[in-house]
Amino acid sequence: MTDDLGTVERSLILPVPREELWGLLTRPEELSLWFGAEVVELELRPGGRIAFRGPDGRTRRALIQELESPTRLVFRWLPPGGEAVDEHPSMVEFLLEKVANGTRLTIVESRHSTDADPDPSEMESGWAPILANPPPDPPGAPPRILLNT
Amino acid sequence: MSPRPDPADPIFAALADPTRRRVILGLSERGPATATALARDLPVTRQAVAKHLAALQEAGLVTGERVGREHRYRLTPAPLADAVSWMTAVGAQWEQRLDRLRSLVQRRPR
Repeated sequence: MTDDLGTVERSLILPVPREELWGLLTRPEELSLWFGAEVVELELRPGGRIAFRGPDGRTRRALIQELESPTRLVFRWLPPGGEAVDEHPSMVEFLLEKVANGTRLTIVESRHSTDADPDPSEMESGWAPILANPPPDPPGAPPRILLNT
Repeated sequence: MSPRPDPADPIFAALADPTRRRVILGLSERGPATATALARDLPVTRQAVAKHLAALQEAGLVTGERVGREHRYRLTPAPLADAVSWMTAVGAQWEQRLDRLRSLVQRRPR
């Protein structure tokens, strides 16, 4: 664990092959089992969207920045749209490395803005419509699961 | 790719630079100090340190007071406390998630 100001990093070794762990991190049903929020949308591609619905009913959205199956997934939380002042957009990275007894998973969540900015064309299609017009998620609505694999 | 300061988040934008984080650490270790004193411990010039201090001052992370021909800077605790509480909260959240992931893996049929 090597926390720097504004960056949280955690790492653990799990006794499963990397491909299997990748599935636990990228399939909506399985991600929902451990993330602490229900995955109601997941477009598994760079520029794709993720939406988590928390136990409080609030939906938190993210945009996939980088995707290298089965080793690396980077997403950026989208601004919560004035829902909570103390919540700032940050980047989350999952890194999966093969080790002798399984797979090392490292997660890094960082509020530093040194990472590459999203491509402007991606901003247009990815961020702008969400910011301008957040899609409603009525309670009890069926989950929208979009998987492009 | 240019660092794009997020107006909603000036503290973390100011801390994005690794030298700035070392300046902060320097101030937290030695207490109030001038750019000249801080530059002695860093692989950058006094001028560069002065520029970083100005950026940190703008973000509200340090305050400067004039001492003779120089400014002496000190940390302002509140914004850093905010950064630390974010890290504590997010760190705890990931520990819970990874604990659940670990038990999920252990419960899976081999």
